[in-house]
Amino acid sequence: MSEDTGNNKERGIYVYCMIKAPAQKKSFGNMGFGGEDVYTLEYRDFAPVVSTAAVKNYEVNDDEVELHRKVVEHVMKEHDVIPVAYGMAFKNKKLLLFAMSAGYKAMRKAMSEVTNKVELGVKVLLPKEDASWDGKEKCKSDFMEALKNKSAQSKELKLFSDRLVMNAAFLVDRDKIEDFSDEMGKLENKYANLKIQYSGPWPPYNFVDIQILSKRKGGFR
Amino acid sequence: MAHGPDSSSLAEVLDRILDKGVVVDVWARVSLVGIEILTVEARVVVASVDTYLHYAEEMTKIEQAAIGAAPGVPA
Repeated sequence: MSEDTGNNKERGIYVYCMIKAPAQKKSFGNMGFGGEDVYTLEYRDFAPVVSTAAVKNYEVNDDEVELHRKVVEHVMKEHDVIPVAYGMAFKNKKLLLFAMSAGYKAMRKAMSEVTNKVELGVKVLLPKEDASWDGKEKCKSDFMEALKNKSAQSKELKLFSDRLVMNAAFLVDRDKIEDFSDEMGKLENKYANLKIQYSGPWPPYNFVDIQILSKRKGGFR
Repeated sequence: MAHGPDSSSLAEVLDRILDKGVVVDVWARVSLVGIEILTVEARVVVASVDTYLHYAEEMTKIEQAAIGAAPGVPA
């Protein structure tokens, strides 16, 4: 990465997520990087949720990732959000608004899909001592079939370990989370010998995939 | 008795936050000038190959460590 994206002290705008533009500019309090105020800007009917922050490469460390997560989780309590990846700091408002104009149509579509919904994550794991169990396929289709019925969309994710029977994300209506949990309860009883990780509610990270790219090579982030 | 979803582990957070959602190229964020602006485009893709390759190896390690640390299930 070249010098002009390095860890200089230049102040810019860090974006946590996008929401539908509220009637008035809104502040979420001093919960941003460096204790800065988290507030909304506006582009047409969208509002990026931002704070003043350094323009630098945001290292992946627990505290900062956790801060980003907490801000989005807080905003999500009252708003539908389009999640934004970690580390998206802009040099100035003009560049941010320009990126939003480039991504506007895609964001409109994404927002219509995620409105009033959250993401739930389900991982099904074999116990350590039984990685060769032959019921994997049946089990996976049991889970997927039952949970697809309780969700608006689903997405199968990478099986990054031999012990993983299923790894998936589900987009679920806010008022159907309980239904989904009930279904999970049934599946957990049926497969009581397996380890099940049920997580969320998440911002819909796995259901929004919008990349705003310049044609310049050499730095994705 | 059914229970709700658990709040997040760091591995679950990282799995989402690093390269999913809206991702904006570093050049589009910090250094666009003049004519370059015209070349920005948004695309919606199924998987982001660039970032995937970048983070896949690291993520796999983190995820495997997380699973290794999770309590085993009695047989």
